[in-house]
Amino acid sequence: MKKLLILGFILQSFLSNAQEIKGTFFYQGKFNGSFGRSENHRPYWGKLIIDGNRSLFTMKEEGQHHASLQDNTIDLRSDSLFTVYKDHESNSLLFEFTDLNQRPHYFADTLFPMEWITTEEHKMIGGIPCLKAVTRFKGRGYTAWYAPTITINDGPWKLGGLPGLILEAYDDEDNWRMEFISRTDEHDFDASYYESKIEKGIEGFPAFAGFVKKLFARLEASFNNNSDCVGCQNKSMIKFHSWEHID
Amino acid sequence: MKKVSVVTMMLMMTFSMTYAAGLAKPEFNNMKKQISYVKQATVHTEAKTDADCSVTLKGKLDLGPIEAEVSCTTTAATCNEATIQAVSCLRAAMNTVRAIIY
Repeated sequence: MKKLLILGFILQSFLSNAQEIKGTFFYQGKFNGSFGRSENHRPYWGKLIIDGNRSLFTMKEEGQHHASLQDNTIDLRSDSLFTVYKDHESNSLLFEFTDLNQRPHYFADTLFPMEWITTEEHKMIGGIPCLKAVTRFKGRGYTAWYAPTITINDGPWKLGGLPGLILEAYDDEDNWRMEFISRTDEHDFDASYYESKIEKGIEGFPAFAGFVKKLFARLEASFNNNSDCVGCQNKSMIKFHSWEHID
Repeated sequence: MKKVSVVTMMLMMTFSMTYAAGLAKPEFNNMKKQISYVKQATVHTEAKTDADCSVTLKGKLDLGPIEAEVSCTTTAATCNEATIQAVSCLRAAMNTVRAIIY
């Protein structure tokens, strides 16, 4: 029965392969800002705009989010938690990182380097038949449910490379989750903005890792010079945590 | 070996004849007093040391997928004092972070 179902998926995929996918796929989910260390879940909307070979994924907090300054938390999260632009034609992926001054920086990453293990497990998401696949990527385990009938190997965030669009994805600890909720035909976004960044030449993930390390080293150095806790029995420490594993 | 076994048996018999058979009861009240005394002595000894209460307070710099966690651990003679010092330490630490940003 399962084999027949998979065969059906593949056949359907083959028949609809000639169509170019265009549209906006809306997701709903969450992100744990303390990823694994404690519970700090916030609800998020995900939006994946697909225009043929190009796509843009953004993930924004539900409701209004303003970078705020609280007593013990300096909240400098950008408007979109993850902004990822993918160009399948040139095999490129670009992602945004906002620095301490909330200036956006763009870095390149490999398009779909993850090795998926596909299974025969299946379920319906929004009336669309989906199959399950798992992978490990940048230090975390991920599960994806993809729709072989939507013949584009894209998905939320940096995930993709499966024979169908990922409609649901989450990490092993359920710190991050995106679930498909609806779709519209709109597919307009300013691809030229990202294309110009790529044309100018942007640095890759090692450069991003270096950038983050440099930023943290600056913070750490200023902490070592912090005289408020010298000579008393106080000890201040700074620890860094990154969603993606940085060597 | 045999001697040890005989002595053990004799002790067990004596115990069962007195306590287990209900002829005499162990002095639990005295034992309670002893425990209470030990507790008080421990607290007293700890209070004599310079630092016996440790408080850790945490703050964070949230950049979304990247986070810097700032922590301040303070030890003081009393927990109240340690908390006051930890608050002050964390405030200074967070101000250091703010100074870098702005």
